[in-house]
Amino acid sequence: MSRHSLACILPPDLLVRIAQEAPLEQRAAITQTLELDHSFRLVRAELAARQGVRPTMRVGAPTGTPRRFIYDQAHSTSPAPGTLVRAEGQPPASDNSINQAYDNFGYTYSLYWDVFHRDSIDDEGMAINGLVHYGTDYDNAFWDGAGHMFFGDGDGQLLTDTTKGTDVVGHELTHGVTQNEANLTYSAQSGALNESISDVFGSLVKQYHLGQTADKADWLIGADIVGPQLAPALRSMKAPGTANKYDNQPADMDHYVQTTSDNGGVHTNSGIPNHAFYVLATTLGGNAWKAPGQIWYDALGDSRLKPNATFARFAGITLRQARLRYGRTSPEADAVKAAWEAVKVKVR
Amino acid sequence: MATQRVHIRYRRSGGFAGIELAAEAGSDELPDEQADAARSLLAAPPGSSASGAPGADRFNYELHLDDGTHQQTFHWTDADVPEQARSLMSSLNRLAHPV
Repeated sequence: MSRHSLACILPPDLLVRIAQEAPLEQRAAITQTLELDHSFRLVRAELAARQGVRPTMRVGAPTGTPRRFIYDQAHSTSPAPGTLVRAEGQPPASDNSINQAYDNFGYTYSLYWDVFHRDSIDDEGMAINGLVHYGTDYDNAFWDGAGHMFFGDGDGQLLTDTTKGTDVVGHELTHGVTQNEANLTYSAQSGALNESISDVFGSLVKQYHLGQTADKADWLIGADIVGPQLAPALRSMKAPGTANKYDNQPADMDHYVQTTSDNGGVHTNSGIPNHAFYVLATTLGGNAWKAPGQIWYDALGDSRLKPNATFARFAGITLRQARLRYGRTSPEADAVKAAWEAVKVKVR
Repeated sequence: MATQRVHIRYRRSGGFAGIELAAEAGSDELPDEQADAARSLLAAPPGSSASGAPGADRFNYELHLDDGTHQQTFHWTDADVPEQARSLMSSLNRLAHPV
C-alpha cells in the first residue's frame, strides 16, 4: 500500500522525472508505482462510473467545482490578464462575452469531472482563466501554454464572438489538458493530433451539454461562431473538407497535406483523426462521450503516448486501451480498429 | 532622394479556425507611416522566430519585403511581432482575404 499512498501524493510527472534521474535499481520500483497509479486511476474511474459516486482518493483534493476567473482585456493585446470581471460563484455580468466564457468553461469542467473524473486542466483543480475581448476584431481564440485562454470578438465577417462556441471553449481548455498529459508537440502529425484531440473533446463538451446521441450531433466545429464568410462551420468531423468553401481538410491518410503553413498543417490534417473518432462514435452509437470518449481519454493519459506521436502510434494506443477496458474481442475494440482503417491509418 | 517602393507579401496561417489569409501591396499604396515601417524593417531587420511561443492556436505570420535590391522574409507569431511592425501588420490584415 505504500506505493499507492506515494502515488497519491506525488504527481505522475514528478515521479517520471525522479525515475529518469534515479539509479537503475530504483527505477523499476518507481516505474511500477507509475503503472500502479495509472491502473489505480482506471479502477477509480470505473468504480465511480458503476456506483455513481465521486472518487474519494485522488491526487490533491478534488472538489467537483471549477475555479473560473474571467478577465476583460478591453481590446488590449497585452498577454497579461486585464480586469477581473467575474470570479467563481459570482452572479452574471452585464456583458455576454463574460457570461458565455464562464458558462462554457462550466460545461467543459462538467464533462471532464462527471465523465472522466478529472478535476480541471491538470486534474488537480487548476484555475480556469478566460481573457475576453482580446484585441480588436480579433478572429481567434488561443491557449497560451500557461493557464490562460484568450478570446477575440471576431471581425463579424470571418468569425463572431468566440466565447459563444461551447465547442470552441472546450477546444481551448482541452489544449491545456493535452499539455498536462501527452504534451503533444505542436507541429506536423503530433500537432494535428493535438488539434484533433481538442476538436474531439470540444465536440463532446457540446454534445454532453445538449444531451445528444452520436446520430443527433452535427459533428461541426465552430458552427456558433462563424461569420458569413465561413458559414456554416469551420470544420466537419463527419465530412472533413466540406465545412465551408475554404475548408481543405483531408478525411484519410491518402490525402495528408504536406505544408509549411500552420505548423505543418495542424488544423488541416486534424481532419484525419477527427473523422476516425466520428466513425467510431457512430459505429458504436449512443452517447459519444461514453465508450468512444473514454477510449480517447485513456489513450491521452497513456504513458506510451509520447510528445512526437504519429497518427499510427496514437491509433495503436487507442486500440490497446479499448482492449484493456472492454476486452480483446469486444465490439468496442473492433470498432476502434475499423475506425482507423476507415481513415487509412495503419493500426496494430 | 526618391524613396524606394517596397513590394510586400503578407500571409497569416494558424489560429483555431485554421483559415489562411493573404495580401499583397506596394508601399506606395500604404499610409506614409507604414511605408516607412516596411522600409526600416528591410534596412534593419529585427529577429524572426515563430517557433518559440508556447501554447496552441496562435496565428503564424509571414511577411516578405522586396525593394528590388534587398529581400527579407520574417516569420512571427502573435507573441513575437515586433512593436515597429504591428501597425503595418494590422493594415495588411485588413487587406487580406482567405485563400
